[in-house]
Amino acid sequence: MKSKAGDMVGAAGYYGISRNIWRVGVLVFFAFLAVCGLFLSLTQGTMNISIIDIVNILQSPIDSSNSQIIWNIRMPRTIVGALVGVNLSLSGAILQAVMRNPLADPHIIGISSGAGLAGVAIMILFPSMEYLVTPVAFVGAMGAAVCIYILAWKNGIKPVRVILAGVAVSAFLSSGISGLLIFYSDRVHGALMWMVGGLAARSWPQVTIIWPYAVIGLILALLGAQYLNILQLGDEMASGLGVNVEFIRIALTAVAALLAASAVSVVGLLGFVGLIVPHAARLLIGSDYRFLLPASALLGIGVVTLSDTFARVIFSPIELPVGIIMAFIGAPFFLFLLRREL
Amino acid sequence: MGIIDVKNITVELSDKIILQDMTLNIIKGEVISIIGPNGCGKSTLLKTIARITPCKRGSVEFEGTNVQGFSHRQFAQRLAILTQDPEAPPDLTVYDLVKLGRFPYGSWYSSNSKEDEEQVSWALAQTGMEQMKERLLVTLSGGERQRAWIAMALAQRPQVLLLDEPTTYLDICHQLEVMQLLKKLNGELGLTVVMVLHDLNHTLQYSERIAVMKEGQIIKVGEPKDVITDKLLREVFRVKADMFVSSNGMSAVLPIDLIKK
Repeated sequence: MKSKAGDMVGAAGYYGISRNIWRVGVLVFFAFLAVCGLFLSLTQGTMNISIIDIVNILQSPIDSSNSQIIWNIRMPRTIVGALVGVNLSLSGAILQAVMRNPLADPHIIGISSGAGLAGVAIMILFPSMEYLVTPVAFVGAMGAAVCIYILAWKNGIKPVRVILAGVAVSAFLSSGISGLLIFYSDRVHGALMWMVGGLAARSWPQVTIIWPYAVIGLILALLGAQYLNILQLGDEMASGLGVNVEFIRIALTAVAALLAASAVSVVGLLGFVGLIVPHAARLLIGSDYRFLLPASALLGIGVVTLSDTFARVIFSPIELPVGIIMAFIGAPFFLFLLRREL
Repeated sequence: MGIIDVKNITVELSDKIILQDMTLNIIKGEVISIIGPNGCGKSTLLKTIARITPCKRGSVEFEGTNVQGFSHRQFAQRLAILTQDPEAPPDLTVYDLVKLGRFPYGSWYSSNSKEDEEQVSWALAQTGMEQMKERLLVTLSGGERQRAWIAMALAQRPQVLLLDEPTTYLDICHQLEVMQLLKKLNGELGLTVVMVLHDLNHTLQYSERIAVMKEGQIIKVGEPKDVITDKLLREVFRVKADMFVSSNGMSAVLPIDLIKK
């Protein structure tokens, strides 16, 4: 039987080229986006600094104002943005396979609501201890995730139970956030910025917090790629193929939770990246996780750094939280991809 | 000792007893069908043999070793299962799927080995899917898709293949195609085939033994002509049926009426 053009793989068949060439092409494109994002994030801002100047500054650390801006503000902020993009995208991509639900994202396992309530509580109730926001939010995020997992446990884990328990726990924690915001309505500004998520004033300390999670999470996720591929066949087939489904699901959920918790505790509740980036990557590169994970990570870098640059320059010198920009531009773009039915 | 010995297993799902004190020996190299009314526990039996569903009491042994004694991958090298209506991502090709059948042999760093490629080609050849290996699973007809799944299971190089209603949703031509493929694999490779079937005529035509289940227990096991009798059909399925001898010498059955309680 002759294979027709339409039988070929998704977008690749669409353009009539071999699947692996297409996949590598998409990866190169995402990498290009990521590099563009990194460069724009470094060069653009209230002060425009050319690439040549940046290269000079990186080579010989002279003590100019530009050097200060690059080393102390833009470079760490760009790195935090890139790592947050990597972590949230990988987390969402992993959860979509582990929960076998296209709507799964770090939100669904309680990361956002847990970090949200913990962060808001510190900022509103103990504003003098704001330096504790990141560790407390991290603990809150992991606490909520563990709580949901325990609640969903009944002779093993069913993804649907995790998702429903996640909805319930998130609603419960969100009521706490709303309560705090209403009782202390005079102090909500910082909390609101936290809830939207942003990269303002993120610097080297945040880089040191997040990079180990990004590196270890990326390695573990890539090691799990083949497991994620098999989980997409359903629990029973996965078990029949020699996967310890229960263990793998817990392990990979933990990886996803750590990735997302480290990102969210540093920059606040960036909700959009973890859901949309893996989907956009999947629409273009397909659902083979050996390609989808690196693609999601690269696209995550590009999306967050480009959005953050945009958020800084559009109403310069006032800057918007990056979360707003991402949802505003990304959601319509995602719908456009979806409608094209790639 | 059979290749698989199910010994006095009791299986409960959400506190309901599905299988009770069940014993069944599966002989190496046979084709055995499991039949019985809906809800009698046929699928649960398959899943218990495949270690997907745990048993509360009793044990399942593979060549004399308790199946719990194997690692997940070791067990998947010995036994493959095709569940009813398995799912797959929309962009999965036949080749990708069959390649996943090599998972029990691989580790993440050596997934491209020559051995895997050979086994995948072999499995595609056995099921007649070589020409379709670049096709997307979702674009295949029901019969072709079932053959692709069987190829995946074969790539595991199992000694035993379990199938849960492999012919459901297929038209008669594709039903026969799948049954003949299984029979061929059984004959040429010595693959032990255990399948849950609804079509009594398929069990009569293609199996060496039939196990009949009712309410979580096996009530009869034996050769098709001894098992499928007018009396059994009345008792187990509550139907009145005529028995024939078909042109190839096998028995055939035609249900004519329900037996009112």
